[in-house]
Amino acid sequence: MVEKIDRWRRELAHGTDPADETGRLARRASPGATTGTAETADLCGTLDRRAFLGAATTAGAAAALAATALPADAIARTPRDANADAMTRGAGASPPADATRSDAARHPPAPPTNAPPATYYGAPNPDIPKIGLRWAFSATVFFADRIMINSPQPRGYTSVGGGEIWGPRLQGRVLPASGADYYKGSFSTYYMFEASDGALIFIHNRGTMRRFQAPPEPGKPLVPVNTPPQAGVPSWTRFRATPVFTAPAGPHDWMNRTVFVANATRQSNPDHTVFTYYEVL
Amino acid sequence: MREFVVPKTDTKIMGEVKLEYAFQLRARFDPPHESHTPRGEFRYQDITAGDVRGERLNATVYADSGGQYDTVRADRVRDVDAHFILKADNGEWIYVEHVGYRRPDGYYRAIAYIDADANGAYDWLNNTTFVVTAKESPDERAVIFHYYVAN
Repeated sequence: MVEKIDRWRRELAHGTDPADETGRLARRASPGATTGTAETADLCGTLDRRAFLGAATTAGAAAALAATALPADAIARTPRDANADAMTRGAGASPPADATRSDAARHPPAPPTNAPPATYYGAPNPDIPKIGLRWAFSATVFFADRIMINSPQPRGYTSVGGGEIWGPRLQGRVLPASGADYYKGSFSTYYMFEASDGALIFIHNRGTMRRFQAPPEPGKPLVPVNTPPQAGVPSWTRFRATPVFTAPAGPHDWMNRTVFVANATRQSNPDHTVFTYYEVL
Repeated sequence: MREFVVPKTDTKIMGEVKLEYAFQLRARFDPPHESHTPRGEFRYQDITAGDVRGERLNATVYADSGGQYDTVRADRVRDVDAHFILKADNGEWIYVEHVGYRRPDGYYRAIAYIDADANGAYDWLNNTTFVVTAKESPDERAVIFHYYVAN
């Protein structure tokens, strides 16, 4: 399973081996610009490994990203566009029948936002309650060190270098070096957000990843692909994350009582993941 | 703390999540056993019966295979933590875990993590994220859960 995940990770990084990538970025970042593998290995041996990888990822990342154009279909759709698309896809836009009462005394409403309206999804039977999703915020997370521990079920470690958080309901940054993905079979990531008001918010993010022949189309079941990725054979990876937040009392308290689901999208050059978090309404 | 400079990005990627209805679970629970703990009111409910109905999954709850192990917090929100086993109509075993919140205002939502036989008829459940909405009877012993796949 771990091998599978690593393979997927490599595939999602467009065939780039993360180890090679780190080395390349490190070489680019180091002013002495050593190019040989042996020199790089020596450098790793003489410097503090964490500091080395951190600097390499940071400096290399900026340089690499500046020179990298993202694929057109992955680029920036405004939230409004995304929502408009969702609406036109036919998901019902009316609030669910069991729309909840506010318990204003104990749970004051969250601060006003410019969030796009929610999209509600229903079942063929209209009596079944609908569930709404509303974009809350997104986070770009850059990863740094990678370690594999050969425990009975191997444990992976991928440290969180840092990142940024933007969106209608939360802005801030990923606290640098505040945690990691400690995956075992599936992703299980622990780290800290620092909101723009200084609040520290703990995130435990579990993730699942699965590959299919093609993205979902109405009325067509997804066909899983359980064989290793092959060059030239198209597939679609569904990477979903489900965070549980622990936020301090105050303006972020709503995160302590809201279920979220995220689309996670792996990006390369530099290696990072964009999480788009939706509140479950 | 190590400094980290976020690379400048001109573009923001917005990934989508679409929900697709999957199945419902009608479950029966014993009355809750409540106890005071440093974390809040711990609330244990044994799962005694239930059935799953849907186009792609039909199953029954394996009686007493687990239940709800919730904690009612100081703000009266319940941290939902449920674990139990289903037996599918073809005899295969399925593990279900719920993590979510039940609020005093009626919001009861959870994420379900499900494990099934990778070589069986229900492999599609594996590595699939489910978003769940639930409704409890007034005595909180009968609960209907509706599961949507997060595609």
